[in-house]
Amino acid sequence: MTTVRKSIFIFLGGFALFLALILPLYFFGELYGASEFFSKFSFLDFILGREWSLSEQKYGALPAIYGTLTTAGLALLITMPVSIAAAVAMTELLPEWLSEKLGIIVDVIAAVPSVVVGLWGIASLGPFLSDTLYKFLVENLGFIPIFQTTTLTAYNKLTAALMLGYMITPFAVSVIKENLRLVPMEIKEAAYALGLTKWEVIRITLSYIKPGIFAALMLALGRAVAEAVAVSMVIGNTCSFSVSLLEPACTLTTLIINNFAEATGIEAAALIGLGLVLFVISILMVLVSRLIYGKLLGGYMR
Amino acid sequence: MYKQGISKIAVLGTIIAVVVIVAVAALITLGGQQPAPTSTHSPSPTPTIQWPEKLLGGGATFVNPLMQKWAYEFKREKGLFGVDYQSIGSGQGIAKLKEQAVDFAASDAPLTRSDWEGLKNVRGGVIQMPITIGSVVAIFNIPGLDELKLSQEVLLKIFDGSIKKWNDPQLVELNPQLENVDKDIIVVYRADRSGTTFIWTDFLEKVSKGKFPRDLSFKLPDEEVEKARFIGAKGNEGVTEVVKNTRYSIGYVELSYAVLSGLNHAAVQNKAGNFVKASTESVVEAVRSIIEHLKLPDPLDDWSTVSLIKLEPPSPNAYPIVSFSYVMLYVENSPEKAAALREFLAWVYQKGQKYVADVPGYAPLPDNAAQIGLKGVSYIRLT
Repeated sequence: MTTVRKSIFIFLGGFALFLALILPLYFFGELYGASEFFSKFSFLDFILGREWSLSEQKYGALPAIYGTLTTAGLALLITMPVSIAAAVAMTELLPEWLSEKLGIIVDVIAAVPSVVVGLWGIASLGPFLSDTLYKFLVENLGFIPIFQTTTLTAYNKLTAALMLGYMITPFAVSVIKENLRLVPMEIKEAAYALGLTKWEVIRITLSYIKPGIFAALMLALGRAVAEAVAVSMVIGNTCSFSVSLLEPACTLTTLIINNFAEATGIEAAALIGLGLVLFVISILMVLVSRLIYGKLLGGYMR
Repeated sequence: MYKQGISKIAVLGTIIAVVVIVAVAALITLGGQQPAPTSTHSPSPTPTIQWPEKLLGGGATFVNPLMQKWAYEFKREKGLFGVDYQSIGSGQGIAKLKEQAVDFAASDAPLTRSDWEGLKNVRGGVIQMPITIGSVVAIFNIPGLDELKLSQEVLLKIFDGSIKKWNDPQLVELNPQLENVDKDIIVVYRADRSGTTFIWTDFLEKVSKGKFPRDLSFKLPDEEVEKARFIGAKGNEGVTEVVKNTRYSIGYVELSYAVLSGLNHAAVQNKAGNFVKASTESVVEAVRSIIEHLKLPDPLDDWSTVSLIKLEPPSPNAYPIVSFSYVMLYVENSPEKAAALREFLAWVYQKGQKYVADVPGYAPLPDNAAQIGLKGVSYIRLT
C-alpha cells in the first residue's frame, strides 16, 4: 500500500516540477533563439517599428502587438456581456430541458476546430459584415480614426475580433455557469425571503461570484491572444501599422505561423523575438489578473 | 518522520523527472536527425539489386500533388520500394538537402549561386533538373466580367500599387467593359513565403527592369495608405478563397488552383503581342519554344540565373509566366539509394509523364526538357 502511495507521490512531484521547470527553460530558450536578432537590431526599434516586411528587411513588431491587443481586447469586450447573460439565462431563467440543450450546443461550439471557424470567417462572416456593419461604420462613423479606411475589405482586425469573440464565448459561459451553480442555496433563499425580486437576486448572485466571472473571462482572453490559425485566415495579414480596425493587419501569432516554416537566419530569430514578446504579454496578463483576482476575493471575504 | 519521507520522495521525483525530460529531449533531437531508415533485407524481385525500403524526398508544396501521384503509381506499377515525399516548402527542402536529411529535394527556385558553389564538393556536387512546369495566373473577381486582358506593364502596375482603380485608362484601353467600374483594385498576395510568389515576382522583376524585387515573399507598396488595398492570404487555397469572396479583387495562384476553384484568370500579353490565357497547352508551348531556341545549362551547372520568364517564350501561343520546378540530389549516393533514385527518376521522366495529365493544372514536360532530366539521372553515382 505504502509503495503504491510512494510511487504516486513520486509521479505527482515529478510532474509538478516538470511544469515549473519548463517555464524558465522556455523563456531562456526563446531569449537564446532571438539573441542573433537582438545583437543586430535594438529592442526599442523592434517593438516600436511600424512595419514587418521581409523583402525590405524591416522587423517592426508594433503592428503585430497592436493587432494582438486590439483583437483580443475587443473579443473580450464582446464576450463579457454575452457570456454572463447566457450563463445567467441557462442557470436561472430558462426551463431545465431547454438550458440542457443549449448547454450541449455551447459545448459543441467550443469543440469546433479553429480552422473550420476560420473558413466560415473567410467565406461568410467577413463578406457579410463588410456589406452591412462595416459599410455603415465607414459611412457614418468614418470621422473616428479607428473606423477610417481608404478601401473597405472583409478582412481586418474587426472581423478577427468578432470571430474571436464567437470562439471564446463558450469557454467563458461554461466556467461562469459552473460558478453560478456553486452559489449556496441559502443565499438565494435568504434573498427571496427578504422579498427581493428575481432581478435583484440575480444581481446578488453575480456579485457573489465576481472572482469566478473574472477568472472565466481571463481564460477566454488567454485563448483569444493565443489563437493563430483562424485569425490568420481573416485578418488580411498586411503587417503595416494602422490605427484603423477596418484595415488589413496582423497579430503576433499570425506572423509567426505564416512565416516560421520557411524562415531562416535573422528572420527566424526575429520571429522568435515575437514569441518572446507574446510570452511577456501573457505573463503580464497573468500577473495583473492575479492581482485583480486577489482584490476581488479579498473584497468578498471582508 | 512522515514529512521527511515526503521531501525525500519529492527529491527523488525531481531527479526522475529531469532524467525523463533529458531522455525525451535527446530522443527527439537525435531521432529527428537520423536519415531515412534503410532495411538491408527487404524483399526484392531482382536478386542482384538491394532496394532500400523507401526514398525520402521533401520540398516544394507546388509539386506535392504530382509527387504523391507518381509515388503511388510507381509503387503500384513496380512494387520495388516506396517514395515518401514531404511537402515542407521549397526553402525547407533545400535546407534538408544541405543537412543530407533527404535523398532528394524539390524546389520552385534553383539553388542560389552561393549554395551551388558551397555544395560543389559535397558528395560530387548537386544535380538540378526540371521536374515539371509551374505557371502562375492572375485570378480576378469582377462581377459580370469573365475575360480580362492585361499587358505585362499593366499587370506590374496593378501589383506594385500604381494603378489603383479598375477604370484606370490603361485598363480600360485593353478592356472597354471596365469603363464604368469605379472601384478600388483589391490586391491579394501570399502572406507566407512561397515558390508561387517567387515565380510571380520573377515576372514583376523582369517587367519592372529590376525595380520590383524577386523573392519568396511579396513586397508591398511603400506608401502606408496604399496598404489597405493589399490583403495577404496563406497558401494558394487562402488566396483563392479571399479572391472568391472579395468583389473587385485580383490575386495570383498556381494554375491548378485557378482551374479547381473555377475562378476566371486573366489573359496576359506575350512576347509576340498576343493575349494568351494559361492552359496546359499554352504552358507546354512556352517551355517547348524556349528550349528549341535557347540552350539550358547542364544538370551539374549553376541554374540560379535560369528564368523561363526572362527568357521570354518566343512562340505566339505561349503563356509568358511559366517556371520550372526542380528536383535536386547529390551525385554520390549509397549503392542502394543510387539504384533507387535512378529507377524512380528515370521512370518519372519516361512513363511517369503520362500520369501528369491526371492531376489537374499540371503540364507534362516537353520531350526536350525530359531529356535534360534523363541526362541528370545518368550522373547519379555510387559512393
